[in-house]
Amino acid sequence: MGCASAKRICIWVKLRILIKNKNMKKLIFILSGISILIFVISCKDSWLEEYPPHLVTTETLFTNLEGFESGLNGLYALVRGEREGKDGSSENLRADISMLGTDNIVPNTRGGIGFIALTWDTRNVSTDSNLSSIFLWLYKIVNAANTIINQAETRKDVDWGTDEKTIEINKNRVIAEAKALRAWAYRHLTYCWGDVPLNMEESTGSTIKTDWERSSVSKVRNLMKEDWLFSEKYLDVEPSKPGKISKGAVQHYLSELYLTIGKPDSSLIFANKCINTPNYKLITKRYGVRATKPGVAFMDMFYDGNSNREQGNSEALWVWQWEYNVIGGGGSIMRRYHSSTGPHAQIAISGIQPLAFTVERGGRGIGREQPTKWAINLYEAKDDRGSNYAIRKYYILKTAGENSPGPADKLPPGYKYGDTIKLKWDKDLTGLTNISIKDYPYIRKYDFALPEIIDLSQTYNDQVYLRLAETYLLKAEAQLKLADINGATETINIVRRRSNASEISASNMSLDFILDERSRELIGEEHRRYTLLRTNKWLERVKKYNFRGGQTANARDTLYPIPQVVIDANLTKRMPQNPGFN
Amino acid sequence: MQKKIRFKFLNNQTYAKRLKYIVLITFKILLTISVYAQDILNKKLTVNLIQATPIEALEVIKKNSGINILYGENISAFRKKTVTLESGITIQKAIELALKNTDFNYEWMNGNILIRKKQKKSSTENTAYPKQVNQSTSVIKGTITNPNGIPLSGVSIKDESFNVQAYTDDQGNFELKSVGGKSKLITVSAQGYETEKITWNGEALNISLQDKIANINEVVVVGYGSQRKSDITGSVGSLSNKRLENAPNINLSQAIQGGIAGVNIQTSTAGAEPTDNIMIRGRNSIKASNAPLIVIDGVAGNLKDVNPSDVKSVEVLKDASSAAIYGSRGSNGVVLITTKSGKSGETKFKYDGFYSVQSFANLPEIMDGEEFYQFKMERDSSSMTSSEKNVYELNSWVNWPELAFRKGMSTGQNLSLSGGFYSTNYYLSGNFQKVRGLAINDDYKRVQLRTNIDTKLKNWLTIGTKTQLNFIDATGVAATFGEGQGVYWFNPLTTPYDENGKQNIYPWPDDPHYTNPLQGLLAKNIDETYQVISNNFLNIDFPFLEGLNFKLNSGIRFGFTNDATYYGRDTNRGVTTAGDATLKRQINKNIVLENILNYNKTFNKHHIFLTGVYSFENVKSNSNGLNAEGFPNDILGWYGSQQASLIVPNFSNSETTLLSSMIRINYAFDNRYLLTITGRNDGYSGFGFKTKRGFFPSMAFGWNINQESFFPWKNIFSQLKLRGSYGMNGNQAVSAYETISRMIAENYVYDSSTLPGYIPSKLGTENLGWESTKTLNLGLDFGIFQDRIYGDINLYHSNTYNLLLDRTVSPVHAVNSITQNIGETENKGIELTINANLLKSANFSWETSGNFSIIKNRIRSLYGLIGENGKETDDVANNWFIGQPINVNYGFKWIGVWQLDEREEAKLHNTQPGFIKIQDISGPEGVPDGILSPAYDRIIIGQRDPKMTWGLNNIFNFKDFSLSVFMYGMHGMTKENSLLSDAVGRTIRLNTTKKNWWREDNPTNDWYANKLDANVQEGYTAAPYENASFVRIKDISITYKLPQHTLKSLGLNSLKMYLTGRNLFTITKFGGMDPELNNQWDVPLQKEYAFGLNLEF
Repeated sequence: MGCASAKRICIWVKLRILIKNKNMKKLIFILSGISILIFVISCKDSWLEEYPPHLVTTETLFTNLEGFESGLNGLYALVRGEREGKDGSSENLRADISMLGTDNIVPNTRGGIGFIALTWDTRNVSTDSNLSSIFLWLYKIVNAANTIINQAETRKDVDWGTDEKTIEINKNRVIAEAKALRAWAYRHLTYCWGDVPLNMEESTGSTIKTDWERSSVSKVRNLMKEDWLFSEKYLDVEPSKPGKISKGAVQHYLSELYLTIGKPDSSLIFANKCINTPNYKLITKRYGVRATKPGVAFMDMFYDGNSNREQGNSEALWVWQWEYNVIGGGGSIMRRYHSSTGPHAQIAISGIQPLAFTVERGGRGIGREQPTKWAINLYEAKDDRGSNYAIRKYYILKTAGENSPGPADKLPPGYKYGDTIKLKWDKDLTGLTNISIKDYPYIRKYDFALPEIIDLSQTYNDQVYLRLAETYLLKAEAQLKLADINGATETINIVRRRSNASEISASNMSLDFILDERSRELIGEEHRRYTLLRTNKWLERVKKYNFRGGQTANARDTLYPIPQVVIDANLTKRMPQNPGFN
Repeated sequence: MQKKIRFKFLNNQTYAKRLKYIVLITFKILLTISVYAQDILNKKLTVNLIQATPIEALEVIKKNSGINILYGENISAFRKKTVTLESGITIQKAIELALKNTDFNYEWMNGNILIRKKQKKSSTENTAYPKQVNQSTSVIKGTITNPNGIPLSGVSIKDESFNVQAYTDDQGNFELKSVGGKSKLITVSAQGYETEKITWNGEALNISLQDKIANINEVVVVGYGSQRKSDITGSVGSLSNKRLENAPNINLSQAIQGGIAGVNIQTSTAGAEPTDNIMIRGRNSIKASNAPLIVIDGVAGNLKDVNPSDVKSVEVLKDASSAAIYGSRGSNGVVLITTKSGKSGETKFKYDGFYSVQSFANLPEIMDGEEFYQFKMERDSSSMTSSEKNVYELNSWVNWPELAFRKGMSTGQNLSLSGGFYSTNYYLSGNFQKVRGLAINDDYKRVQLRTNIDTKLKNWLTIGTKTQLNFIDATGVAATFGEGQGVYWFNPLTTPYDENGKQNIYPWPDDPHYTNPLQGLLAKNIDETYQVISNNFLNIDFPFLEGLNFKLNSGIRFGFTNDATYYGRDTNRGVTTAGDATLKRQINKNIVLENILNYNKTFNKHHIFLTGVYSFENVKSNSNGLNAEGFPNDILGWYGSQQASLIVPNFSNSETTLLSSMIRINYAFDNRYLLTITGRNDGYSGFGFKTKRGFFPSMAFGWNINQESFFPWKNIFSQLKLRGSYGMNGNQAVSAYETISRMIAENYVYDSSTLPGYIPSKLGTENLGWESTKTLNLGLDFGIFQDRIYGDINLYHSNTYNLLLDRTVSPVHAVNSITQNIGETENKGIELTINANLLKSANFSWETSGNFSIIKNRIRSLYGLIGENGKETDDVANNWFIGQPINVNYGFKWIGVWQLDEREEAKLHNTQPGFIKIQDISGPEGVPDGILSPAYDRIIIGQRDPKMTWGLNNIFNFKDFSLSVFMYGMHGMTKENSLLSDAVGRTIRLNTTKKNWWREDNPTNDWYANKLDANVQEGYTAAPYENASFVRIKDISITYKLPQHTLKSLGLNSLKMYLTGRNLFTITKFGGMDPELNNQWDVPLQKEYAFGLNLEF
């Protein structure tokens, strides 16, 4: 701009001279000619260069450890999106892709993935926008991880630390975290779509491909294995920060992967590595924020204030972080989708809708998906995991004091405080109609409410994402596959004992029993669809136990169709669709 | 009068210092001129002077005596120091001595001494110059008036033979003293009037000047200069003044709409501040903007910035040759807007004002509460909630749109004064616009002040300014429109207000997802924009080379926007966030510097006009904002943001620079053969390192056939010109930093502290460069019967290549799209403009002007990837198909409803009677395969841009009345009628338009059954597309002009009253709200009745 303003000043000075002295006319004309020339010469190409002071580029970011940490933070924020809505909204829960439409969780209303899970035959189509959005989201994770890995491995100008040992530790830990999360994304991709394009490069504007090929599942899983083996080597038992992935979580995933690819012996090794780590222990006693209140040990780790390892949750392998009204705090919609307090508040007895939203009841959920009758009935009476603390089966009418800071429940005629309002599941969720059942039980693992604003649509508690109990169940499965029936039985019993369920004997042991046990323990947590696909039981069990959508499923629906945009954008090579899809 | 203006300037602090400076200089000169010097000639000189040049001597005399000496010609060429003066001689003697050795003499004129060259005497007579000038002086007197008989001041009266001149005074009187006999050629000229040449025969000259008439021979602005229309080789369209003046226009695009062939303006959103899409000669670009470059008084700007009353002319450069001068930005055409200047004469006051009332042109026909209840019960009675039932039973259902709308109004008040004295012209205007839109709170206020001044400091130097101050206030949040929670869609079985008249936060207690669509009406809001648009220029006519001219143009556009909104706890948004504030402040700065050199010269039959330009343009935009949530109370609104619990500031920044140099050669031989050659080099900062520069050449020829001696029909054709041009323009319309890959913030959290995070977000393309368009244009301009009918025809063909394209890339890359230079598009078209004075008699006349254009546009190439069939691959993901128009509808085709007798066939398609019937077009074998699939059954369903547009304006004058009817039309486009959208939700939570639903006893093909999923066949659905062609009667105006004699008695120049109806009728088959609007669920287009008054004195 200096050039321009100098020019303007020049013109005005010139003008003054002109007016003062006519005789200088010619001189002035020469001057003006020169000034034009100067302007032309001085304002050259350097003016056309761009210096964006407000943009972050890989070039400027990945110069030191701190930069790589923020790259990882971005990656974790993306990963956490699994329990958030599509595109940051409070609708279309992404986790549904791995949980909904199974033997234990079904849609209670239509919409999002629920549409597919209700009508597999007509709605599981390549143009579904949820599928393309989730596909893109997973490849964003892949690319963010690729970028970190590539930058860390190839750049020479990075300040990793002061001495050689620190440099090595920091660099390997950063790469290990990125690789663990890349494999995590491919785990979703392979279970959902089977063969998928394998992208291991950092995307740039000059490397656009129009001829992607789908790599075979086994090839992709092989690379996942390599990623996780690397991570397992360089990650610590305790995560570098709460919210980040631990060595135990990676061992858990390796154990699962080896089961998937039919290597139970290797699976057992990694399950044992994880289980035998002294830092990781099942929760067997009451602890934390509600320790003195009525409840069961099993549920303590799901309460806000209890989930993190440093809050006493020794069972957690990976805990995801949220926070209300903090930048980066995000917002989970697991409660919104799983909890049914919204419909329950509409239960009317003699025209009165008695139930209020309270902190203890976990705020307001809209019950988009619910456990099947089969899943609720899996529990013995004494099993803590089937108690009212874990699965809401009834309400006690409470006074304002007991409900504080929520209002008192309203009393229908003939009721008094302390009375019970029972929910019903004698009629299973069935059919394909739109009818949603209001007074149906729900899973309480995601109960959360801010005392100030009880009915927010998102929740902000830290949530256990992966825990040791599931590793035990993987171990049992590996033992079963290796024909160690007694070992498998004992492994299962370790998990059952904690919840006061009766011990089982070796004669009970079977793959189906393990799957049942997984539902009892992990309902609403595990990626049930993937578990059933891994054990080749999805279609069978969905037909057997899921009467709300299961009857529309077919063999083709063990995979989702490749999103149409992926096929359409692959201009120079025809990308095959999964079998059975148009 | 003069004093008054000066006073005004000096007191107005907001004017730039420079303006004051101009005015002060002007006054200094004027004062000097007006000093009378008759007696001074006999005064004695009181200084001594030794060996001075003639001019130095004259300057000394001037200072010493106070006499004013004017130089008719350049005397400074005499540089010999030959003059010596002694004190005590008379001033007259001193002057004579000073001129002794020159070929100049002096004359006593109008109280001034005029120094001028001696006249050549023809014979052998000795060159003794007349000592007593007065003896042979002839005195010419008279009065000059305007057509209405109002005296004009400052008019120049020139004796051509002796090159002396005089000016009229305030009463329009003049006295010109000259030499010679009683038969002289006198030229009377004033800016804005036709120049008169008269032979004086000794009598007083009382002349009434005629207004300059814009006709076929008008001067047309062509960018960095102007040309006679007959000399133009390119394709330039002009807007008739009648479109500008006849109707109340809130913005300029309303005036241009339908007014120029090939210029397509579509009103894309209605409301208090409507938005328009402008496209010249169709769509060339796919991603890059198709909007033309708007140049206001030489500086790039925005149509919205200008007050339509201030506009003198609108020209549109359409072909490559004429637009090439704007090079990089000319590929979509250029709109040149020139604002008014003052013209010599006494101050003219002009008042324009109108008041209008508005109502809907059309509203969606949605179901009322009763109908909605039946509709919902029929589809799924179980989803009826108890509160809905309650509302229904109490008959208290609500019509939501009614609560969001009101009667609209708009008013515009415009006052201008203009005039000129001696060498200064001024035009000052103030404008106030107020619109109360149809939607409650959709308000718009605008104040504009304009100062246009130019002054000729010397006969070779002019400086001036065109400066505008704008204030725009769009404060107010209207109700929610649009899909989902908008007022049209909202469930009518709900309760908007509680018993105290307060808005219900949850109007539907049983479904708290639905928030009150009126909540915006409760928001606190401020939305203000301030703008300074100033173009200052300096113009030098080089005295030593006639026709050479240099112009320095410096333009600045500075804008500031202040936008803030607060939702308190009386709204849903405020309740869920504990108070929600959004603030944004933005600064835009646009600086242009242009150095323009023009050379305009005629040698015998050769006329050349050369233009060279070097320009610099820098655009900066910077904003900061804040989102805050969690307020302790609602007292302070956004002012209390520092107390909020979550405060998220945000910033944005953008800067681009454009450096250009240009040369243009216009050559004409004998007014018959015309040639234009243009070349422009542009550099744009937003492109890649190696691709910033672009060169855009063009060439054009013209042939004035009617000037040829052999042309046989000279008495019929007043004008007949054949034109042809070929050239290239560019389009750089990508924003800054597109070449740079970047990351965006994606933060994580640990406890309550933010963990800053970044993820890759955009893939930059390093070698992004110019998108270029080559255009061939052939044109014919004609005027017949003394231009009673005139117009032009243009044929063009343009190819755009290296398109800046946002191509969809595989999501495997982790992005949806990337910008690249790829592909080629083609536009072909024909344009016709005709103006005709069809009837003309004493009391009645009928003028008509029309334009018509046809455009054909297609994609020629995309990525150059050849598919298995040997043809280039389409980009289905983006709906781009080789050989097809750029903007097409693509999808499954809805062909009706499965009927009862088709039950079996329907079953094969996994559907049933009453459900949507989608055409099974093809299959893997090339024939219908009985299965719907995206690969084989999606087709192109029409184009979205019009194939043909036209406009027609008819003006009938009867005595003092005139009636003008303007209509326009667009044809050949197909649009989705989104108004029909049946997205009521699975539990019928939303309203929709009334339809003829299929029932067993009503087996229609109009619409499928009122059933869940009735719009789905095999998992796919199809949208309703309709022909969106229309003909609209845009304006009908009746104007009454007060007759001259009445005006005179009132002391007025003119008084005009008019009544206008706007958007009164639209003829279309399109079933949506309006075929022009983008969004069929938004604020409707308004129908308007306006009364206006124009007053001039």
